[in-house]
Amino acid sequence: MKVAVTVLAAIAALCLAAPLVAPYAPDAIDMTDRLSGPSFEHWLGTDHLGRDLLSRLIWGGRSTILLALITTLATLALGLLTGALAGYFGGLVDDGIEGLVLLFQGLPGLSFMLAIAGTLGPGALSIFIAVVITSWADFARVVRAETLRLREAPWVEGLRALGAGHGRVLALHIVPNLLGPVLVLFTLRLGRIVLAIAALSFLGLGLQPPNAEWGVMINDARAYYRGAPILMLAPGLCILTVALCVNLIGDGLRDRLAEPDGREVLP
Amino acid sequence: MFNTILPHRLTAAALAALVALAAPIAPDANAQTREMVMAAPRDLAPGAEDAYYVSSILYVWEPLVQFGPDGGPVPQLLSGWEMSEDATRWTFTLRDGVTWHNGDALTAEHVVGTFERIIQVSPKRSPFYSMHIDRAYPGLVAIEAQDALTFTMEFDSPRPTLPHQMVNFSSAVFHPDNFDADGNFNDLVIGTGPFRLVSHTPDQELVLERFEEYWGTPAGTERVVVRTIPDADTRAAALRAEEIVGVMDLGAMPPEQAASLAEDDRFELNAHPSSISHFLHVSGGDGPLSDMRLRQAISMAIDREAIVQLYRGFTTPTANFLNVNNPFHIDVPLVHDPEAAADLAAEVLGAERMDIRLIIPSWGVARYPYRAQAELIQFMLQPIGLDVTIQLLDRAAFNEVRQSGDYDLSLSTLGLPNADPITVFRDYFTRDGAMSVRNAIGYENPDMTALLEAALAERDLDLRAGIYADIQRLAATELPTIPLMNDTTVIVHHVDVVGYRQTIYGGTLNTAAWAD
Amino acid sequence: MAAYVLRRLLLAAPVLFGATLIAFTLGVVAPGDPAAGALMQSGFDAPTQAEIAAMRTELGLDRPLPVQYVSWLGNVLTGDFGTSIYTDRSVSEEFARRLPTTLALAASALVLAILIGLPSGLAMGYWAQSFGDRAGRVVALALLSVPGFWLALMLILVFAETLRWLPTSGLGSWRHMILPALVLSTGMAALLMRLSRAVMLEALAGAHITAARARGLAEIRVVLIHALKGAAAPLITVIGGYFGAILGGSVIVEVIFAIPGIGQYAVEGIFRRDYPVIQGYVLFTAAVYVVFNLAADVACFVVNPQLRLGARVA
Repeated sequence: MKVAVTVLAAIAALCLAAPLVAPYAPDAIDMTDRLSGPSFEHWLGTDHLGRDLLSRLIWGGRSTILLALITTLATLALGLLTGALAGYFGGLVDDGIEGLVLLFQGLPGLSFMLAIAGTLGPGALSIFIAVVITSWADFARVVRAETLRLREAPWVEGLRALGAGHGRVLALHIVPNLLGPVLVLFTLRLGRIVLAIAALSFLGLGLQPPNAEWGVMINDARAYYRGAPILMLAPGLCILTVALCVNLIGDGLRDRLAEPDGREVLP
Repeated sequence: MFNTILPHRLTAAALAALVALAAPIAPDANAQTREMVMAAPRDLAPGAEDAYYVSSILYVWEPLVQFGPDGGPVPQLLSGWEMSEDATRWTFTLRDGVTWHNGDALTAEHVVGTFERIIQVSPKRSPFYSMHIDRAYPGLVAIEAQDALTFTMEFDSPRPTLPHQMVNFSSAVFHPDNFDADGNFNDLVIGTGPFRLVSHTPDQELVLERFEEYWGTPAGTERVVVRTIPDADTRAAALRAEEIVGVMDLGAMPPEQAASLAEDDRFELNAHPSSISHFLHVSGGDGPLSDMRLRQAISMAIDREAIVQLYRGFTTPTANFLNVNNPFHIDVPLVHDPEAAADLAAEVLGAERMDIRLIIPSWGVARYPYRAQAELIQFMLQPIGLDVTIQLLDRAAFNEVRQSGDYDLSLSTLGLPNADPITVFRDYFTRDGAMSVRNAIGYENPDMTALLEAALAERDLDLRAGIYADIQRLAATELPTIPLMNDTTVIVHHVDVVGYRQTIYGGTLNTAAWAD
Repeated sequence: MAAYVLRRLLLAAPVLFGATLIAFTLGVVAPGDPAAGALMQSGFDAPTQAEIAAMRTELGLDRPLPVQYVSWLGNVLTGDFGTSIYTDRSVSEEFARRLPTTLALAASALVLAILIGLPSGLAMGYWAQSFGDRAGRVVALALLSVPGFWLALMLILVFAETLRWLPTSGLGSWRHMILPALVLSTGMAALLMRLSRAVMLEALAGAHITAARARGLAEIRVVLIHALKGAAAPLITVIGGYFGAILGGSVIVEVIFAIPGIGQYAVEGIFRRDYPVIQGYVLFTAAVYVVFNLAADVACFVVNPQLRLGARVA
């Protein structure tokens, strides 16, 4: 797990600092120097438009990681909100939210993700919407169950008796106690979302050009990879590495923290 | 007209012998039939509800009139035609001795029946070309059989270019017994072509067999299987694994994969210009690009040769709206001059920069290197003060956006449905023309309108060709849309197969044969 | 038993109803005019406004949305998902025709996943904390982390194109199924590895084992039988849920390997903006998912009747 954290931190730092560390602009086209192999000028060579592959990998990682992070965070926020509300207040709120959770959990996520992203058309926003809609229910369910458990805890009743408002109890006492299980869920889900974004990109539903993104780069490379295998290998290995590190960390976290719910580790 | 055959024939022939010895699936001398397995990106037999059941490129049905080598019309099921003085009445004579796949002899009554069905089902959808009597035969008043092999068509106004309009899909002939009451096919398609369709598993494969009573040169091979493999890369892999020996249809093999396959001695590559042209459509109207100088600047700023590189040389740069394959095509000079372009753009923009929105359709990305092409155009327009934002849209959104005019430039293609360009001229160069509306082009010019009217009124084919030339020259100056390239369809086949070449539309599957 | 099944069915009904709402909404919020799309499918045609209006009427798109929904729902309830805007063919017939192909693919993937995941997971559990166990856990995570399409391309390159052991694509013999099923099975195999490892650990800690060890019985056999017994219920649950979910995962595999299943149909529908197909796909996969989950729950109930309703939902 230490290794995974280190590797992931290194990749993330490199990618997030793309404007500082990338040797070239990711969209600097040079048609006179297409598909050249690794050299001193271009460590990993150039792509079909003569753009520096290393720079595009770094910028692409920035897009991939940021998009995955933002999407997962939004999913988490929605799940946290609905789950905590349902678990804490119970009654009608709970019934309504639980019904929605049951609905979305009862549907095959990948199919729906594809249908939603496909209907909305290519682009980051479609991916965001499709992933959030199909992923929030898992978070909500875990959060709800945990909140229910916490709500019954004597100290929460004590707080209420002392006159603490609902919002205060939720925000200051319940939510912080949810962090452990939610962190595990978040990490494991992040790995899946990285892969989901790559898959949508592969199907042509990825980011708009000329943005670099690993899934889009693999898709672009399909026509060229026999002549220049690195165009496909490099972004593929990047996705694999990031997803693996994230999953390793999630696994490690789960072993250390209390096990939230066996079902949630399903890929 | 160019026709590339790579690599060299001699080496290919020598290697064919070698491969035949070495290949694990080499022909068994005792095998009764060696199936020729090909692949296409889509199912070429959409089936009973389709206007044509199968694509023309399978040689199952035949049209009355076909593309000639120069793109002009040549008779296929006809032996000749005759136009009346006033060009409103045409008399067609059928080829004698044509036999249907069910054994019947082709008669003029069958042709009339075919046309009656076209009228009945118009407009009929098809992934190839939609079937629409008003579009293909505007002003048709009557079609009548005169005797067993003669029929006449009458129009309400002169139609001097009728045979040009009848090419390929427009004059597909089917057996009238082949249809149910709704005009859908009631069984496997019955045609007159050199191949019979013997079975069809939707989206998986179809099987053709040589039709032994074919009136013309019999097909070069007995049995052909066409598999549907949607993914271009998988088609390339299937070729390399020698599971298939060739590919067909539009986008059969994207240029990059084709070029990479051609480096392998087992494969031959064959390219032929198609009737498709690539454009940078412009949203005119009151948009920023309604100023002709900006359109001219864009045209001059774009290095078409660089774009052609993305197509591995399998397209030809052009400044002419009309496809090079059209018999009325003329050469117009092509100018690439970034400095002049910058000056011209500066006349309009001054020191300002302008934001431009370039939209590309996602369906084009599967067939052409559109993403890279858009990125390249974005790069090339930057120096003349245009900041391009690219937007990849799926088909529906793309159509909606371009019709609303909420874009500046779009990557588009246009295929010629027939050999008479008057339809596409009017579609694009008049404000209420169908394509002008669909793309919010909004171009109109009294000189152009006058030329179009003159062309329509002209009954003499040579004089009409002269007017068509003037239209092309005017369009090249005013650029209602910016032509980029003439497209080329590339096919790849194993050297074990001979006689398989690409044509304007489809390949010569009818002459494809085993090298032996 | 019957009561349990009935209650589970009642739980499934609202899910399916919700699915119809989502499916219908998708068609409404999507950009573009399906009528124009239907008339422009070749990309070379230019229909007039009048033709488009006529097509809108023909497709029933000119009616108010609730009316469209109710009439659509009525048809859906009788199993009629409408006709494809592009091919004019019945969407339900098309799904029915293609479903066996996709199910065969999913079943092959499942078999492969069990063959790979179960023995290796049990072994990892038995020799827990050994080098093999640690390596196996990383492998399982790697299987969960590899992009499926990327793996598919690499497998085709190596096993079909270069070694020519297996066909690149299409249907035909069982050999055609191996590569696509392998790609599809990775996630499931990883899951089964982890699951069966956990089951084995539990079995080893169980009292029977201690007793058996004390009596010096053939240890491996006892452990194995006990582990497999314990594994049955969670295995069925996981498989039931996964069999439905695998329909979503099969999309990319079907596209790459030219397998004419429902995933390929869905992708075509999406890119052609063929609403009845997209809606049909959403509903169809939802129904399949619900049915398999239900079947798994019932099977679990049979295996382990102490489970009470509510122990596992959806």
